[in-house]
Amino acid sequence: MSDEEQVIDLLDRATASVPAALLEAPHAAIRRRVRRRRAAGWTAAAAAALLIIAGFAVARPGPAAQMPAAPGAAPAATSAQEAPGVPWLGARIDRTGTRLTVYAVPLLGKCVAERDPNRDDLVLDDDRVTVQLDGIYTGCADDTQVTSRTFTLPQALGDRFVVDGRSPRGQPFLFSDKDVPDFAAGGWSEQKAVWLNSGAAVLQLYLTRPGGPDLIFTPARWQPEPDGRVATPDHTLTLGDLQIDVYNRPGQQAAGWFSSHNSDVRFMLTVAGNPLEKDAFDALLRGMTWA
Amino acid sequence: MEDFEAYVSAAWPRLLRSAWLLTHDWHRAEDLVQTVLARAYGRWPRIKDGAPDAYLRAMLASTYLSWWRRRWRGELPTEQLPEQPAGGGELEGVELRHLLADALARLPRQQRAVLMLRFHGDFTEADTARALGLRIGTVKSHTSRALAALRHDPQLRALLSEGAGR
Repeated sequence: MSDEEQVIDLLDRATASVPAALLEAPHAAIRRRVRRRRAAGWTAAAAAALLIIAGFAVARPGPAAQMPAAPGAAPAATSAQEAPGVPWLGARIDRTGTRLTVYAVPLLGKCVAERDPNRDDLVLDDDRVTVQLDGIYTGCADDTQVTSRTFTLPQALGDRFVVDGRSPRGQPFLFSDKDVPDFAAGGWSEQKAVWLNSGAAVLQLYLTRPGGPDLIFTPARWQPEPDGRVATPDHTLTLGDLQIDVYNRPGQQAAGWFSSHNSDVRFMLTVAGNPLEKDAFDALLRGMTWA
Repeated sequence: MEDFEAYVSAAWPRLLRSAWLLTHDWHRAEDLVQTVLARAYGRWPRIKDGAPDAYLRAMLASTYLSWWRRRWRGELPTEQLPEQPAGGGELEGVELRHLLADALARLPRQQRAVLMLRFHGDFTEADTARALGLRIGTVKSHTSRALAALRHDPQLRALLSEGAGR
């Protein structure tokens, strides 16, 4: 076999088996993306048309004389300028509803730098809480570092939306600690969060307690397909108001569930290090405080 | 467009394999293929009468490279368990994939794209150059460097000889 034939053979062998859950084409998700592209296309066309009209209006001489700018005055900010700061990906609200943590978007090969927390912005309205994070992206060796900021709200968040002031049309996800076990009550303490992989938009939280077992907890945005792309669990537990999917695979167990107030966030919990027996993993889950 | 959906059903696994060779992660691969199919939908009447697989593989490679130039916008689902190495000492697909993923991750992205198109998509050097907007000489040098890197990878070397011995 030539080098090239060997590589062809290697690539074929390595990709021969696609995970069962991904074998079927997600038609609904593709259709959604097609619709989003069309909507974005119309928006862009409308924006371009508006810019042309606006440019024409600016180019025409105005009827009134222009006021001369004061010497040394800074140019006025325009809406076309990009808002300063970095966008954030998701937010977490604690059990009291008053401690809000937002996580800056992870970028491949980059980290957030030059942050001045005093320049972060928090605006409280009746129907929404708007957060804006200061900082810029710069190249870095470890792009799994998480940049986050925790704010204390004067009143519980309640039903208010949480939006990114820098990209208000974005769709950051929000999850509540009420959707996850009370790890502190179980004796676990939370280590600093990291991103699961380079550039991956999945938070990973490491939880440790004396005597173990240590846990890995990953919340991530997830939009389930109507045709059920969630992997079939080995069994399901009902804990509190939540349906917990339990996966027992050789060498690893995992529990997965959706946030209760919407289905946009999927949580996953695994045991770090040596796996437990199947029954012991179920017992561990049942022993946690879910509410 | 029923024929588009029928094509997607049939082509999905093979496009996913091509995308995995670029991203070495099944979920990023899925995100990449979905993105490319959504873009291809509007062009389907033009694509369908040619060689749709080749067209879409070229789109996979160029989209992947443009994502890298901007940023990865993917959203990763997490309910899939990480793949576990197969037991029994035999080098199964999962282990092989882990080794290959490591080796691919060490290649520059353009070399990875060239490798996918040339050796998985069966593109000629000229077609690869056209798809990626490169000169043929650049495609040749990327190919040669990528092959050399794989050949010199100690773990892959054993696999390559194992394949050759079949």
